[in-house]
Amino acid sequence: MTPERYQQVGQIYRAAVELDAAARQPYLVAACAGDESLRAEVEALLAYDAQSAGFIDRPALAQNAEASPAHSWVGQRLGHCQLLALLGQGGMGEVWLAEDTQLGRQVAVKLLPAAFTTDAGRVRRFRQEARAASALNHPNILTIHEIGVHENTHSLSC
Amino acid sequence: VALDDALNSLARLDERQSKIVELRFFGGLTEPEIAEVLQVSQRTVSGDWQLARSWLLRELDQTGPDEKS
Repeated sequence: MTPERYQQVGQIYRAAVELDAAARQPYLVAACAGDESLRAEVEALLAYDAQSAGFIDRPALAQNAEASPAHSWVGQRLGHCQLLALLGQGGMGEVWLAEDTQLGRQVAVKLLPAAFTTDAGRVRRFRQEARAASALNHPNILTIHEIGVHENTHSLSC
Repeated sequence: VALDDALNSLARLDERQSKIVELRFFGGLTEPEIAEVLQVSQRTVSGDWQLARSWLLRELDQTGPDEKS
């Protein structure tokens, strides 16, 4: 699509979106004046308008904060790790201090929040990171002990 | 990442709309704040926002999960 075409689509879309369902169709027919591909384009976008309510509606940061309230994991067990405290968080997940109850040592557990697990790309990258890191052995590179899935939350412990 | 690609495509079609999405979604600005930053009316901001959101959602649907990264 060209920017000019997008402006044209946008103009008709904006007028149409204000109309109720009954008035929309006649307006579209008139406004697009026989340009069927233009009408199809506007109609496709209008169909998305109904389902787009809620999509990226609230800022990303607020969503992240709500999706993974920091305290909710304290004391929880993931496999044989008990989560103790949140060490930090970033765009790709959270890192927790945990205790490996079998080996009696402290480990770090990285969690990919549940809000991201619906995104196949993120889950794939998360698993890729775990595999890549576990293939390496260097004092400055963490050693991966375990990767797992717990109630929709993906984790890796090291 | 998928949203980022879609936003880049949108920027090529309409720079202002992609800015509005960035400011609102990534920057957490309100519509009146965005209107002030971009020196346009609030009505323009909400109209742009509504259109951009529908367009992005459709774009994401069309790309499909396998081409996300």
